[in-house]
Order: sequence, then structure tokens, then C-alpha cells
Amino acid sequence: MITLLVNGKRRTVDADPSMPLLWALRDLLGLRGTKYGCGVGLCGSCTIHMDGVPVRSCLTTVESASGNAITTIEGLSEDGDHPVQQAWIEANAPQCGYCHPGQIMSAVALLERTPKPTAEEIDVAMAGNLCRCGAYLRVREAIYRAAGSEGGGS
Amino acid sequence: MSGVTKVSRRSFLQTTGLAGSALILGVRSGRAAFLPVPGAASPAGVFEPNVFVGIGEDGVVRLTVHRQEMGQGARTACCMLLAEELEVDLEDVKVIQALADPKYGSQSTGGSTTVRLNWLPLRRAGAAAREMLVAAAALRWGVPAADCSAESGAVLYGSERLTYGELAAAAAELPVPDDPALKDMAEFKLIGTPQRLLDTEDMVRGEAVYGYDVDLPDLLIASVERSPVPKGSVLGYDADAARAVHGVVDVIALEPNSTGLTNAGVAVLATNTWAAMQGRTALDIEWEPGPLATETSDSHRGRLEEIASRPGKAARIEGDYDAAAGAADRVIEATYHAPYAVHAMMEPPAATARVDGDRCEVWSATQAPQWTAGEVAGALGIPGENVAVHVTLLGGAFGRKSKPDYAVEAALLARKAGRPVKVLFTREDEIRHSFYHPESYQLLRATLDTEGNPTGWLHRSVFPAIGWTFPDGGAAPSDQELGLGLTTMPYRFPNIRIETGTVPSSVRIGWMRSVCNMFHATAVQSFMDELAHETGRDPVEFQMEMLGAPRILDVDGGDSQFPYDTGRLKAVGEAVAEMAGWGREMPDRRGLGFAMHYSFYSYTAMVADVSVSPEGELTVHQVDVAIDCGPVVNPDAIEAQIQGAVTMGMSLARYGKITLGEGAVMQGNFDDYPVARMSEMPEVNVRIIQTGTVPTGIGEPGVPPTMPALMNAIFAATGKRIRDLPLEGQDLG
Repeated sequence: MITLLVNGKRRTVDADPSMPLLWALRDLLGLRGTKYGCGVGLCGSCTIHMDGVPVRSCLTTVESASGNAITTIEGLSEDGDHPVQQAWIEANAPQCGYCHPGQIMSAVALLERTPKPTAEEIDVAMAGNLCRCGAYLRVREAIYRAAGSEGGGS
Repeated sequence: MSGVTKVSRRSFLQTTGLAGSALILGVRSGRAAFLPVPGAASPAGVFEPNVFVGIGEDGVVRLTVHRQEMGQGARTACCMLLAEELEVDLEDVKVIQALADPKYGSQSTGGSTTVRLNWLPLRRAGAAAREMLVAAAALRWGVPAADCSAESGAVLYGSERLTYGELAAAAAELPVPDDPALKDMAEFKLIGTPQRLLDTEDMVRGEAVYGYDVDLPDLLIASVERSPVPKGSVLGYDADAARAVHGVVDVIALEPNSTGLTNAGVAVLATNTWAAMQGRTALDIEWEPGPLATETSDSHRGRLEEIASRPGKAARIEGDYDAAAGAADRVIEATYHAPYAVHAMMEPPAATARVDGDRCEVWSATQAPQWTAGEVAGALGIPGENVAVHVTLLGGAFGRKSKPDYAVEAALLARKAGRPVKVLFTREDEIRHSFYHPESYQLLRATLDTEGNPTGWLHRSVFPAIGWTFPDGGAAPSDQELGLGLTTMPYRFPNIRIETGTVPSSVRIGWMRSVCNMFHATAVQSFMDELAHETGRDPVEFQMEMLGAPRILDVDGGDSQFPYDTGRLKAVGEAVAEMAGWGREMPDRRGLGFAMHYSFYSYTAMVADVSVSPEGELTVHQVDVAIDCGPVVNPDAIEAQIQGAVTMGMSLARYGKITLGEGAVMQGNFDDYPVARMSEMPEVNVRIIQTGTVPTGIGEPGVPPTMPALMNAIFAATGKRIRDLPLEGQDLG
């Protein structure tokens, strides 16, 4: 049994220590807001926060996650009203929506580090989050909105 | 005839949970989808409503939407059409996703059809319901209906006000109007305004349920190792090793099905995804690769080139091309090649099934619920009506999720396991076991007279057809495939010869966002650019001149309600040239490329602004797009679809390449099948030109012109003509 601290709650899972956190969250804890996209850290759909740092949960074993504070999209805010989630809604960012929990987790971490990111800083921070619908321009706009800036010369 | 009718409460209540008295109307939606799908029965003769609107005493409007949401905004647009005529606020419409049922006509979501085919039916349903509610209020007040008005879910007369909820039961007793009055377009309050997609809030909270997210009591998760080569078979595997993995419950071999949809494989079923994947790795399967294992990308391309080197089957003939060639002063020739490509939508295919005796329930991220029901029924040997297909949200689809292979696997495994089973494709599964966008090789020739005037057009297009995938489909391209940008060539060449070849494939072929339009637009629009340069003309001027005076092209075999009007193509071409400042001086190694294309009854033109560094690095700065897709329903969705289409077109132009080695697909994940990232995004400007009276496609038409616009821009920047895709690996410096 492995103990995980997820969204402020202590949870115990019966998992192989090598199980990626992604599958423990989804299959063992029922937190299916974190998405699978590639399984090897190439797409960012499974991005969560570990002690405030964005990590790919498909590459993070439950063993290594144990003892760290894990935040998923479900735990980002009480009612889904985190400023970044709000900005996402205002910008009409999602199309199919599948990659957006991961996009949002990356964006939140960026804005915590860099409250007023430049276009280039956004591109660098978000480079690991793929969106096949091509909602990138709206994602960028949502990040500017959340940062309270006006497009920053995008 | 309005096509609107009352329906029995029972059939609506069964699916919606609507309680109490209610006004329930049904309406017959537009005819079959663009892409015919096996199992999508269209009820003949009898009127059977297939879209249902219910208004209960709570005043909530319930709309069963029979089309699927995959990011294109279909659910939102359907609600807007209804709400506009019904006079309710959009947020008061509750969407109920329809189960698979023949009564809906085609539920297949593909071919950019949802808004086009539901534009009138849904508005009529809304207008009929509104008139009945107004009539009910007028009766209650003893006043003429004409003096009452409807607004925001209530009927008004002077200071009197009754809500639709209060009127629903009385309205249900009234006759359905034969010819409900529809608004003039100028009266629209909702249609034409930007609206957020209905599922946005669930999506940003991580609460939206996709195929991957379905959960049931006692569920097992299956990971399936499939034959790397289609038509291969399993010789042996180590079931014990797989079963030894903690969490693995069962190991089940799958036979290929008779309809060509599934290949042989071995499934590992476990209580969690990781255990299923680990068990699968332990299987150590020995394969008999079968007859297709000799195929490589080189051998396949060689066959395409060989077929394209000789005359093919005529698809469109006008005048006498051979005579024009005989008399020509010059013949210009070019060939264009594009490889196989795959969808790589972010959510790989996923479906869940529960089998109980001769009944089966399926939850699937599918574009084709009826086809899913039919295939599952066939695979299980049970009647079609015993299969219920619930449709989840689709985490991207782009055509891949029109194939029900994964639901068939889930159903077979659920029956054998005696428990509900969810089949999850990994990314590698998605890339290696798809129905691919076909590799294509095209030869084009134009003949010129002594003055340099074009006199003849020859276009020979060779690609494996979708029919090849199915046992009874035939290997020759269908007229429908040829109508996707080949036979629809709009230019006024006096002599035209358009041909196709028949070529087998060793992988399964499928639909991918805009289908054959992609490579046909690439070839036609590149070649027009080449001809302009060869004859010393400006590419945009040359294209406009070759379009000539506006005319209706009667060549695509499409819907006669939606004639191909070359004047509309010309208008978007001129608009985009103006947007982009076409003809302006460009810095060194920077250029503009123009392309335009007609697809899914919409007209799209683009100008790409790119630069290429001396080292060959491509930067796409800006893409301007003008589109005419008829009256606009949701301009926000149109802009999003164009942005997305440009992104996908750019991904394909830069990177999109599936190759074969010994019959197997060589790529497996985003490292060897890259897609565009945020940092590559150009600015995308969209101008919407509204013409005509019925909306046409928007999900797909933005893709085809993107590739040739980029290729032509690269030529303008560098003088290098790209005739082979993708760009990656080519020296642009």
C-alpha cells in the first residue's frame, strides 16, 4: 500500500510501486480529469502539480509521488473557478477539450512563477502541451487574460 | 409541410427523464450524411421524426442531439438553431445525447454536415413549438394569438406573461402548425452571435466524460496487442506471464472480424490500465505476419508512380486534351506526392461494453453510433435493436472515430470475460492500427499555345481508395472521393482530362479531416502557382482569370441544393488577397503563398506569410483566411475551426508522414509522428463572407488550402518548389 497526498487529502492505493501516477489517479482514485495522451511525456495531457511544480503524471511513479503534495485539475479550485479556469472559459479556449486539463495545469504553474509572461515565455512553458484541435491561439489568449494583460503583442 | 409532428410522450420520456405534462415535438432532420455508413438505415416512405424537442412543466427545453460533439461545436449549433425560433435563452436548452437508433436517419458525424442538414428542421421545430405555446396562451387569455409575442421562454400579452413551463401541457393539446413562420435572417438574435461551446465549463474542470473516462461497476480494462501487419495471425503467446502481473484477470485472443474492421490480437484484461499494459508487454506474441508483410513505403510509392505513368480511368473529360497536347507550343508537367497520414487526435480510441445474454450496452467515443451498433450486433450474433450505444464526448476524432473497431473488440471481450470491459488504445495503438489517410501520387500537365495561353489540363490522381478497406468496397476510388477536389477543378481550360488509377494498399484506408481534398488541393493549387510563374503571371491574377466569369459547375455529383458557384470562390480569393496585402514587397527570404479550394459546399481562400532562414528553418508568420460557408450560425466556432484547420494543415505539411516497413507502420508516438506546437503558431486572421441561404461545412474546409498556401509561400520566399510532403527532412535553405 502506498499513501498519496492528493488535492489536500491523504489517499491509500494498492498499486505496484512502478505504476505511473496517471493510472493511480484515474483508475484507483477515480480522478479522471487527468488525461492520457502518449504515456511517455511527449504531449502534456497528464500534467499535474507535485509540490507546485508541473510534472507529467505518466512518467511519475506512485512510489516517487508518495510524500509530495499532488494537485490535479479537480483540486485546482473549489468550484472550478480558479482564475485560469475562468480565463479559459472567457477565451472559449477548448474545442474537444481533452488536452485542456493538462494545458491549464501547465499554465497555472507558469503564472505562479511568472505572473506576466511574454509570448516567448508562454511558448516555452506550453511547448510540452499538444493540442490536436489547434486551440493554441485561444490557449495563449486565455493565459494573457489570466495574467491580466492584453495579448502582449502576440 | 413543416415536417414537425407530435410524438408519444413515452418514447421521449424514456430517454430524457422528463417528468409531468410536456409538449413534445419531433422533426425529420436532413437526409443522409455526406459519407454513407453501413448500418445507417434511412427510414423510407413513412414520416418518422428524428430530432426531439420537449418542454416540460419546469420550462426547461430538452433537445435530443443525434450528432456527436468532438470539438467542432455541433451540439452548441443545434441548440442555437432551436433556441432562435423557439424564443428561449440558450442556457435554458438542455442537450440530451441521443442513443444509436435508426429513427434518427444518419447519425454519422462526418463530412461537415451537422449545421447544413439541421438548419431548417431544427428551426422549424422551434418555430412550431413557439406557435403552439403562443396559441395556448392566447386561448387562455381569450385574445388573438397574433397580438401575443414570445420572448425568453415566455409568452407576453400586454402586461400578461405565461412561461413555457406553464403553457406546455395546454400547448401539447393543440395541433402542430403545418407551416410555422420562420424568422427572416435579419431578425436573428442568437444565430450569428458568438457562443461558447456548451461543454466548456465541464472541460476546464476536468469533469467532461470522454470515451477514456467511462467507468462501470466491476469494470475490467483491456489493452490489446494487435497484429503489426493487417491480416496477420497469432502463432503463440505467453498467457501465464501476463497473468502473473498483479491486477491481470484474463488473457483473451481476438480473431479478425469478417467486415475488415478488426485484426487479430491478444487482449490482457486487468483491474487497472497499468496492469493491463504490463501484462500485454509480457505476452511475447509470436506472429505470422501474413501476405502483406513484404510491403514497404518504397514499394508502395513505386506502384503509385508506375500507375500514374500511364493513362488511367477517365473521371472528367471536356474537349480533347490529347489534341491540345498535340498542338501545344509548350507542355508543363509536375508530379506531387504525399505520404500516408494518421489522425493523432489527443484521445486515442476507447470504448466500453457490457454484455448481458443477447443484449449489449456500449459507451463509445464514436462518430458513428449506428454503425457501432450494427457491427457490435454482427460480431456478437445478436439483433441490432439489442445493442444500445451511448455516445460520450470525443477527445478529437477527425474521422478516425467513425470506425467502430474498438467497440467491437470491447463487446467481444466483455462477453468472453463475463464482465464489463473498456478497451483503451495506447498512442502507439492509435498510430499503428488506424484507417489511414491515403498516400497519393499525382501527375499534372498543362498545355500552352504559342501566346502562352493555357489550352489543356491533365490531372491523374492515384491513391488507394477507402473501399479497399472493406470486403465489398472495391479498390477503385468512388465518385465521392473523386469529387473531393479532383473532378471539381474549377478553371476554364478548353480541354480537360481528369483520370484516376486503381491501386491496392497494404494498410486500411479511412477518412481524415477533409479526406482527398487535402492532396487534391495540394496538387491543383501548387500547379496553378507553377503555371502562373511559368507564364510570367501573378498567381492570384492568373487564378482569377482562369476562373473566368462566375458560373455554376455541374461536376461534383453533390447535393443540387448546393451548387458550386465559382463566383463565390472568386470572392473569397479576392477578399484574402486584399486582407494579406497581396503583391506587396517582401523582405529577402520571406514570401506570400496563395491557395483556394471548394469543399463541403464551402469556399475557402488563404494567404500564408512565411520566411525561410538560410539554414532552412521555416517560420510561418501569418495565415489570412477568407471563408464563405453561407449564413453564419456561431462565428466563434467558425474562427476556432479555421484556426484548428490551419494548425492541422501545417502539422501535415511540416511533419505528417506514416511509413511502412515489412507491412507494419513504423511510427508510434509524437516523437516520430510530430504535430505542431504552440510556438509554431502563426497569427490566423479569419474573414467570414456570408452568401447564400443555407450554412455549409466548416469543420473540414480550412484544411485543404493550408498545405498549398504554405508550399507556394516557400517558393515565393526561396524559389524552391515543394512537390513532396512533408517538409521535414527537405533542405529549404
